[in-house]
Amino acid sequence: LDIGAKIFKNDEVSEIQIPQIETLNFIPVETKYKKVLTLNWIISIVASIGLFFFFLRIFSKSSIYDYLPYFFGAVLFVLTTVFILNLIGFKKRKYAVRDKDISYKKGLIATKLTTVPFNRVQHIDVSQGFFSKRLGLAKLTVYTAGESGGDLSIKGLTLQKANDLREFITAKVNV
Amino acid sequence: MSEFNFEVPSRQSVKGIIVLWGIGIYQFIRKAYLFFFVVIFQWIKRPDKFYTYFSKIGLGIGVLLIYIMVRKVLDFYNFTYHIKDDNFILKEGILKKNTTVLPLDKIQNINTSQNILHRLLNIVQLSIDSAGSKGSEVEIAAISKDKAVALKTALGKSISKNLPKEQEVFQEAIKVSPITLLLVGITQNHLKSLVFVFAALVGVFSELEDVFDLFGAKEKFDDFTNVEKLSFVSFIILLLFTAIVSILYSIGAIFVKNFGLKAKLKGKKFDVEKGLFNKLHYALNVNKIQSLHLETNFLKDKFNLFNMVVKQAMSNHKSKKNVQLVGVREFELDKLKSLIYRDSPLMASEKIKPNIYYLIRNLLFTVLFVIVINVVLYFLVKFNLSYINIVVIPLFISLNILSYKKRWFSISDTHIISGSGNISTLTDIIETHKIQTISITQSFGQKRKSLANINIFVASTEIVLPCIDYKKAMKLYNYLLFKVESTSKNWN
Repeated sequence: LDIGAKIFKNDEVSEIQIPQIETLNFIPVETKYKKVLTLNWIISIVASIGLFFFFLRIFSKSSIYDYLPYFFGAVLFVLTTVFILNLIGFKKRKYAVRDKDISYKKGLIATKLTTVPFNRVQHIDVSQGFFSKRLGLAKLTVYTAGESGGDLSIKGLTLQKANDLREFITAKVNV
Repeated sequence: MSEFNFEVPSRQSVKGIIVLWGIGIYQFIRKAYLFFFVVIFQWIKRPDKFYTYFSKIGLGIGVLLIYIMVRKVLDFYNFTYHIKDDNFILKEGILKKNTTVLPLDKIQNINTSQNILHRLLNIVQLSIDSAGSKGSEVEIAAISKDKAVALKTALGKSISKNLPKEQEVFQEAIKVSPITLLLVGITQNHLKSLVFVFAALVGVFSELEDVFDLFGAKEKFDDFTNVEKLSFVSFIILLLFTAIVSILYSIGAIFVKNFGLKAKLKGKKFDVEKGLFNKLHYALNVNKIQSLHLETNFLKDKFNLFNMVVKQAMSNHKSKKNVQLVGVREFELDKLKSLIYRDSPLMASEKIKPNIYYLIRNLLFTVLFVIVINVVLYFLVKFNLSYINIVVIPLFISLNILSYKKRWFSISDTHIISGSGNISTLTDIIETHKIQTISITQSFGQKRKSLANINIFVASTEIVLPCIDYKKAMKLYNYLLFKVESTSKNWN
């Protein structure tokens, strides 16, 4: 008789026992963050128009001159398209925190969901940009080891919320 | 106890000053080689005029050399290291003092290397890697061999404290003979080095052109390089010559870099030695290995040869932490895998292929890319690509089909294995408990077909499992998260 086979147990973990991320309640980021997106877009538009006229002067005698309007037209088109897609897809920017991990999803046409387990967190960072600061918003970045692709950052949280999250995760990491 | 006391700060080996000078002068020459080139050219062209400048140029170079020498001596005197309270402390800097503190338990591995100067002086260079962010690497440019060994054991003490005592002997896993190395060189994918040599050739030509231009001799250069005047035959000869040189070069490079390649394991300790002129010695902890990468191709497969990269946690793409092994036989590979994954052996599990959509999408992108390139080149510079297309399109299509054929993955309780590649065959192996982050992405097209990609990040690499059925992907996502979150094992 094969006694080994009797003692050794490796029950299959049923699906229900494994927590399902689909059933989680995801929380949207602050709508106020749309203002930051808008302001950033306006600034990038103004900057590229400025750059356009600057280049027109520099390359006035160059063969590139004729192509400049097309090039900057394309730049403006891309900037604006990205901005509009960001606005339409804004309500898709959602995050969720569980006991053992943090998740963030976004994207309208192409979607992405990222999860970082707390037991793999290296450090956590809360930062505020120029406009975010004036609106009381902040960005939370959760760093893991290795290349930057594995990091998770959530933009458009209230500063309070970002700090709370940081403290919550720090406490979990240090356990 | 050893004869060295590492609790008091010590300097590098005094012989090291010579190495430091060597490094300084080498860096100087590398930065200013074009200048030297111009000087020598001028000398050949107008020796009489040159001598009037010679004293000034000589003086300039002399002052720079003296500066380098003095600077390096000061560097030497201001560079000390010691061990205190389980920390390795390194102090450096002449005016701006810099102190680096490495906790001993964060040290990942200690490597030594020897260049020719080191070998003549019988000393070694020692580098200490630790997991973590910037500044995690420390280098001692010159240290005597005995002291290096003593320092290694002193640094390794805290590591071995945490590990159970291993009363084992080294097991040799890999030994690569010179003949195998030649075989590895010959079976290499030479296309890459051909492109590299060609680019280098073009680079040298354009740089030469600049230099000629500087002396008003551009016409001469144009005569010399006029391709139209070169006959078709001599052009082919030049191309063949380039091909042969580049192939010989890459065979030689592999031989020199990997001469005497040996890998052995003792418990958790993994030792690798290689190099003909620049001898490298890696000592790493098996637990800190993040991923294994295997590579073979059609020819190598015939000779049963694999190349292997052992990757550790990387802070900023420093490839130094990657250990490259070439010419590994299949049985050696199996032995190595069983030794590295001793705690949780690799199990064969079902190979899963991506959906056929993966191939269709890649083919669509290829077609789109070819059309765009054709249209842009035709309308912008009136360049007709039609002949090149006849070669390029079938090539691209067959590469796409190959890359679909070679794409698969398998997931067991302990490991994720992913296969990819087109001309070469690649296999990546990671352990599930070393996963850092997981993400799932869906493009517009994938959403319509209800498919998704899973991206798995470990500290050394990213693995993509492309075009899986969405429901299956979600199941996998939850399962892998569960695996990571329920493990008590450390990733590093």
